[in-house]
Amino acid sequence: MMREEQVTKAILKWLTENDWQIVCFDFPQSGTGILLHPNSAQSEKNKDGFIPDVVAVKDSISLFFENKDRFYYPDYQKINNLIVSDEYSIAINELLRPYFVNEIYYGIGLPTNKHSKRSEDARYLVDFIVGVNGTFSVDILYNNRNIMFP
Amino acid sequence: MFRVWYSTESFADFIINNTNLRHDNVIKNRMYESDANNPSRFHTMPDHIRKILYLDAPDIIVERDKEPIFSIEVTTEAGTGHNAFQRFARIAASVENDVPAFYIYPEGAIITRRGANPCWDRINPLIFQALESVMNIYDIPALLYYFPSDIDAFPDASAAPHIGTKGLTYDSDIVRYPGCPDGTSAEMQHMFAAINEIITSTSTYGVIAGRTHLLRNLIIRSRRSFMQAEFHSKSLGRTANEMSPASATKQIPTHYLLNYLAQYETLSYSIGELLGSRENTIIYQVNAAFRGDPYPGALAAIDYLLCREGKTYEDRRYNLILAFGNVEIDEQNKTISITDINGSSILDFFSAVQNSERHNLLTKNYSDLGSNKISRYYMQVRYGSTYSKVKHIRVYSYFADAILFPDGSLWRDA
Repeated sequence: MMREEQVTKAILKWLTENDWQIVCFDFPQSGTGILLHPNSAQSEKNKDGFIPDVVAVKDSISLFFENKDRFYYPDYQKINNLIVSDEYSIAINELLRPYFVNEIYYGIGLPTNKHSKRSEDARYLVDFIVGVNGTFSVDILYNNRNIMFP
Repeated sequence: MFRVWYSTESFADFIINNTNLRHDNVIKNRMYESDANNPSRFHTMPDHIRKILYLDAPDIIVERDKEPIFSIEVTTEAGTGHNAFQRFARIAASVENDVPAFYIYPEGAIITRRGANPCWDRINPLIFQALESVMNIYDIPALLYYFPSDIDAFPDASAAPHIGTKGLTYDSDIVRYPGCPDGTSAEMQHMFAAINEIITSTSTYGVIAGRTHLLRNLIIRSRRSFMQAEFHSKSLGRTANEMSPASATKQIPTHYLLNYLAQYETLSYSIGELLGSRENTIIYQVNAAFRGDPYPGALAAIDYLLCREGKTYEDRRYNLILAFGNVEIDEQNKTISITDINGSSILDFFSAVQNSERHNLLTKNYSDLGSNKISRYYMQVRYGSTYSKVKHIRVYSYFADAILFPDGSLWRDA
């Protein structure tokens, strides 16, 4: 079974091979993630913060990925919350401040064979879904916003 | 043949490809850390690896011909105060099984607190003294290498080029080694050299004898000297007892403790002989609600720093007691009292143990077990709930001679 680490590494490879700049990334036990606090946060504690699994930038576009080794509906909800609310806008703007970014898209990474009917049904919540297949290459499974992917 | 057990595959690749392991036949296997968090797979781990995992799981264990030859723990956390010791039980887990341990830890990490300028949170130098104590007790290397960072070149944290990654420098090959320290840094090069010495030593002398020769090795001796120098230069004249977590300890005559525990004695039960066999007692006072990190690792470090003289808990000069609450010494009545500050209760301990027991299969009938559960059942028949309790319960009950709460106590009789 493909692990989240492998999903994230395959996406990193795909992005860097296609000239995307990696802002940050995280996978279980990597210790590399950057914690983003909600605008309402009163302290530096982790509560209510989130760590994006990959953030990449290219040609004034930024992509935020939430990755898993399976379909996980709460991730789709979490991504949708980022799309429809400004809850983390201060932290996201701070993260992307060194880059020239006009548009931000939020989506899901998962093994291609886990893009099930439930994932199809939940796709309206996110901007994009990319899959990592058995040869560790990336499939565009959903691209509602016509993002100029690699 | 070498086998690398890993939590993160990228880090396994990083170690293999940067050391002489790359010239050998190496198998990689994912490590399942405990029966508590990997109940479906932990029992498939070999027994000699499970023994190391008993206390806590390092990031990598490398074995040669089915004998572990070293382990590595890597962290990117800022190492002030107790936090420097959070992973210490992982080092203990390794050396207690005569397996050399490497600890990759930042010399400092940049912390940006709201309303304040970024600053370096620096490593608590007592970690070097704790590792030195471990080496003195076990005659096995327990070496710390700094996770590469900007700290030396940019003492002003706000000017550090890698401020976005807390001042830490990661390997530039993020496709093969995402999240790994910069392999070209001097610190990592030194560590690779030490790993190569272990590989060579175990080739020359065999695995068991090879491990015992290591503290005489020049490269390893050089690192040990560096660590001692780092302790002295960074401690700024403070003694170990003035630094956390040793500063959270109190030493009392053991009969004060025994007088306190006398409340549990009855006509038919007396406290056993172990505690009374040592004249004095060290109490590690935790002013927090009952929980795990960073206290399990700190407790382990206190054992090596202040109590141990030999390889097992029986070989202590001082009893090691863990107390949740405020400990007051009553000199007049030659006893102690423990008052509640943060709501710690012995019921929290029992609750954690009871929750762990949910993983236990021993009350099942044969007909209840599918084929995939039989091997796990058989492991539990042999080891009971040894591996199925959560980490902090395992570590506390391994290291502490007694655990005191405001509303109850646990202790060893022997």
